[in-house]
Amino acid sequence: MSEARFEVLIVGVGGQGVLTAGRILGDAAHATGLPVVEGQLHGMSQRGGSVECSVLIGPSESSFLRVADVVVGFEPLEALRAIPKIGPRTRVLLNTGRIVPDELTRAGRPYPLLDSILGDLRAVAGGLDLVDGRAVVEQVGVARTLNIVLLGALAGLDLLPFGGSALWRAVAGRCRPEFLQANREAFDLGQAGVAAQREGAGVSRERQS
Amino acid sequence: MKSTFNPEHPLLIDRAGHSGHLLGNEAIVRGALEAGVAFASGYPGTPASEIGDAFARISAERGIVFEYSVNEKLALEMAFAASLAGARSICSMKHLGLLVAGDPLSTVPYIGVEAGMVIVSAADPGCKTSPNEQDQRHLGPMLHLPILDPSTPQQALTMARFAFELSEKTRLPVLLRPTTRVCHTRGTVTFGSLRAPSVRGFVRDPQRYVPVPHNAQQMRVGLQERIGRAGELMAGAGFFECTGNSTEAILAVGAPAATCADLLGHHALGDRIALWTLGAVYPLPEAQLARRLDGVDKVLVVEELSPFIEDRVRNLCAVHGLRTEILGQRTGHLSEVGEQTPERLEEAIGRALDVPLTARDQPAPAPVPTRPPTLCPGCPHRATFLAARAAFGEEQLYFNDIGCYTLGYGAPLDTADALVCMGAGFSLAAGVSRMTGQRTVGFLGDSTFFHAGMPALLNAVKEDVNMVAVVLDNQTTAMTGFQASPSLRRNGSASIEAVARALGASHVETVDSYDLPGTVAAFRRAREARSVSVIVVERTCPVDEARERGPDTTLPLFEIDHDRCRSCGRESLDLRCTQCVTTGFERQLARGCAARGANSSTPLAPCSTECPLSLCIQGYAGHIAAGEYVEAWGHIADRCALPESVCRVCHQPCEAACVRQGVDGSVAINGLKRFVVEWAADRPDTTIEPEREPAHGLKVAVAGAGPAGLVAARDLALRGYDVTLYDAAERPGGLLVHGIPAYRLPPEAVQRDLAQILDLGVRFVGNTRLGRDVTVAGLLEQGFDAVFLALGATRATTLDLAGADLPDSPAQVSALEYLASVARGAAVDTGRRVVVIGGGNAAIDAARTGRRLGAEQVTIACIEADDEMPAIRSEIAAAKQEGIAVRTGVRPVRLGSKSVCCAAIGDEVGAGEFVLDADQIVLAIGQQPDLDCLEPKSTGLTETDDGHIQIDPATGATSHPLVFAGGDLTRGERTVTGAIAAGQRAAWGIDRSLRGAETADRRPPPARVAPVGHPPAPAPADAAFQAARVEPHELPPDTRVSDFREVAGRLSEAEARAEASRCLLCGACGNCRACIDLFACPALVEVDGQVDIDADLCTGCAVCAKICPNDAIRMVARV
Repeated sequence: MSEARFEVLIVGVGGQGVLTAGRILGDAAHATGLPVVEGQLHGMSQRGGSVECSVLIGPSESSFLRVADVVVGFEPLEALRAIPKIGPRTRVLLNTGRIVPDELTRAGRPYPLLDSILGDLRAVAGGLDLVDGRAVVEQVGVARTLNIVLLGALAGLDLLPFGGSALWRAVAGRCRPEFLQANREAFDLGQAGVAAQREGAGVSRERQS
Repeated sequence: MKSTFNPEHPLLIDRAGHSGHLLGNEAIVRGALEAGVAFASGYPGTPASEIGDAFARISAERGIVFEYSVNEKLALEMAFAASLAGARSICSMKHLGLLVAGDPLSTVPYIGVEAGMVIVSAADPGCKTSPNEQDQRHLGPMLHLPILDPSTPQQALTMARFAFELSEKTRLPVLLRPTTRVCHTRGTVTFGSLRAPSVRGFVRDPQRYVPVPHNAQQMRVGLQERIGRAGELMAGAGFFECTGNSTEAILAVGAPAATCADLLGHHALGDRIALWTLGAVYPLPEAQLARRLDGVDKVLVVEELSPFIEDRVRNLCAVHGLRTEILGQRTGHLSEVGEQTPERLEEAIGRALDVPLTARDQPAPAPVPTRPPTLCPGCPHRATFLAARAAFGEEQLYFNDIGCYTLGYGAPLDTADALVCMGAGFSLAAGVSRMTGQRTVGFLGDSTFFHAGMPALLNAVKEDVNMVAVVLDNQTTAMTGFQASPSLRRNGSASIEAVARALGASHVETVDSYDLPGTVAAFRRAREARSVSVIVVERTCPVDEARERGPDTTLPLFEIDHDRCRSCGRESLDLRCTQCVTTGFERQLARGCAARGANSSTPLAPCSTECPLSLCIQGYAGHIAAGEYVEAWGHIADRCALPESVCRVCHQPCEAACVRQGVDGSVAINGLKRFVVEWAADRPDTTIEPEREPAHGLKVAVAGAGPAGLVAARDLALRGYDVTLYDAAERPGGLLVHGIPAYRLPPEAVQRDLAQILDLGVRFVGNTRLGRDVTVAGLLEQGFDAVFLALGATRATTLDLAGADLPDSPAQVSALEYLASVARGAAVDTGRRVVVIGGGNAAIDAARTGRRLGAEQVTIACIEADDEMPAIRSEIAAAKQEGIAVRTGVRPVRLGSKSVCCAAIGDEVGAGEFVLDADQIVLAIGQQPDLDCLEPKSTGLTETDDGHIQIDPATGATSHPLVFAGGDLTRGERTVTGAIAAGQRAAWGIDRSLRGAETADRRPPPARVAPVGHPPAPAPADAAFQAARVEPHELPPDTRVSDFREVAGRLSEAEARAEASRCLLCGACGNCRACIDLFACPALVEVDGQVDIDADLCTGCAVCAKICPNDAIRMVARV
């Protein structure tokens, strides 16, 4: 019944807000009246480990994701790690900001070239959209808004079975009032990627036919 | 953004039929609320933690009594007690905790509960956050526990609510046993009505509640009936559901039931394969199962962790005579290990049930660097582990525990040699210590200490175990989601230090892990103590602080000062130590920083600043301490020509400058150098070939084969020159051979040095005296492109004393002649009584030589005061030990009959005179260069007014463009090491003049003047860091004066490592990565070869700044 299901995989590093993003996406689907199942894999991952969260919108019993419709990659290497869940129908939305794994730092090895990571993703995915999340967050000026920027960008892709305003309402529902304004800005900048790009940051798109 | 912001907690929405969106764990809480639960307890543990967290948030509002109990046993006992008091109760824990609670768990079913009691124990297939995976379902038959296993959040809610009814009707505690997959899945659930908590009260009935044997026997009988009743109730509760009608079926249990439902739907196999889902796992609904089994040919049993159900189904078939084929783990279709993923299930269903089903062809996973969990930036545990490594050293055994501190496992912190369960950090340390006698270290966290560590500590104290028990108190249970610890100060609670003292520990200290030197000092005291030492390291978890109070914007940030990072301030010297830096050395660096406290400045190490050869002394000391002798040798071999000689006769300005001098004694630097030099000499395979330029045809003549000449010849040869070395003597060596006695510098050591130089192809021409056999002009005419003069100071200063013409006045000889005769092996009759005039090294050498020649009475008389004698201090002391009298502040006045009359300086003539008996007078009052052989005027060399050749000390250049000079021929300090440096500088000077600065500067000479730097950090005042200097062994004075055997021995390996560990490595390092390699804070990153601090991650804890040897980590304001 995957035809009726829209599967989102969110991957990143502990502390980036992956689980909150998944929760908000689930909230939005639930509020829209769609059945939704979210699965988290985090364990000890608040300690800088890999985190993933699957959000399955549509009828589903288990939280196992098979092939994602969208992968939201908070970090390039984590998106690369998700390759088994990426297929020709998968759009990858990728924040290009890198978090160097300790393993590399300690070994004195460089982080892989971004172009090489993008190449590997392009080889398997149906489309790749890039976000310079750090630039947008700096523009917003409030830390810990990366996940909202990426949710905005996800809304901007216009693939979800509900609209951007439903997603924004879910953001607002999980937001302390004092951060509402900043989150709104983060969401809008993410969503209006083209506009943000004009400001020297934001979303760049590349599509594969 | 905290999720606590919510006007109405979703768990408290009191509308039956409401569609909620809950995590499996929250659904369990909701089910309990709908059952009117009045008491909740638990111990945090992933994947069950969110159950306690949810109760913690809503308990007050709902009127529920909640506690995070100190351990799972207590949680279960509290819940049982609540049930006896007539309150429905729930307790939650992860799978491991259920066995901690095993004691009460095994008896509670006997006694029976009153109000419904539910135990939630979450399983973790795949060991995602646990040290094992275990199937608690086996406890059902063992302990008479009804067990429910949900497959979705909705079922978790329904089961939790039902479990209270079941418990109450059977008086059995009910085990609700979800797996990680269900606990951490958020799904749509339909709410029922909330039910208010109620408490009926405790009704006294000791016979019912006290299982003395007689009562227990009765209870046991009733237990059979009650567990049977539970089976009936569970069978009627709808937790065995069957869909589809086929001759083939899947019986799916727990979480995999949901996965199977999705799979069959996805592949449209619902018509071909029946799906039976089972949540009532013990007791089984046997009658229903048997009826179903009767109608099918094949059943694939899908469950996780063990064939618990599969075996019971087989048994059922046997009992009922059914021929149904049972497939599953026993038949190899599924694994017992880990989760049943969709991919595994597709494969198993395809194979077992003969349907065309293959797993999707997944793209091959890319090789991605792993991202294992690591301690957070600013984590106090990281600082604690670093301090432990600094204090206890590399060989220490560490036993660690369950929690964040588990992440001490592996490089670089490496503080987990074994680990098993909560509280065992102490008991493992104690057990190993009792068997091996080693002083072991055990780590526990605060929660773990209260959970199970207190008995372990008491046990260790009781048995007087030789161990160090460390409690890392961050006041929270951080790993599982920051549940409050009993030690949390904002809860005003338990003091770990007080508990440790009350348990009988006598050495207890509390320190702050951010105070790195203080923590290292405490660990050092614990290392030196005996019995049980307890060190409580306190520092609130910064992540928890940020959660409670929001990010602290007042904290400073740190950044790297790139001018200082990886700069020792002496890069111009081409120390070429890049090949030498290893982790061992860096650990020593960090240890040094920790020992002396925060860097207040940096620091050129004063020893290296004073070293005429600019040796990186802390470099080789650090490597020796780390046991890295090849690397240590690399530091010396490259820059120290004549190492065998230098390590014996250097005047050791380094030791005089050592920051430990005046605290607990300078580091025995020369002893360390000698250890490494001889270590390398014993191992020819460790020879380090100096870098050598190809020959270019330029020729240099070196006149004088003493230290300056030898080294200039060596360096010039390495620079590609054709070098001829002339000396008036038959053999090379100069002063080293004929001026320094063998008991200080054995001839075979000098020969090893000489061989290294002559092996480079330097041509030696002996018996050739300048001015007699060759001249400077003649050498230049012969085609030498430059001449280096290193003729030394060979003309002894004489003293014209009255009475020398008396027939029986003592014989007079210069120290030079005296020592040279002995060195030549000539028979020297020195008489019974020798007086040496002079206070320098030559005087000491002559006096000690005199003793060895048989003189019974040797006296040194010098004009200098005691503390102004130019001789090496240790040499003066050695002379005195050998019975040599030293009369300072006196001068000889006249000779008498076998005597010399001396007077105190400043005394009027005759006033303070005294007479020393003497058969022999040795004059050691200085030497001058013999310039006659040079004919300076005709050669065009400028003389100084005190009779030396004038040079530019930086290059050795004389006033003649092709002539260079160095060593004692020129003015300057009269030391072997100084002469070596002069030779190196002259070689450089000659190279600059002949090939140009650019080429010559590729191999720069030692610095002539101290580089400008900051004063070094002071030596530690803390006694914990002080240690006595290890002196090299010496031959005892009474035996050594009988011959010329070498007096000073070498340090043993253990002594050398111990002594090297005293080096504080107080200077900066040019090739250091200590912060990353040892501290490994995630905020420290290396980008394009530069270390940087990620401002987003830096918490401002300042610990990295304290271990930076270069003081390159600077505080900056947070913008």
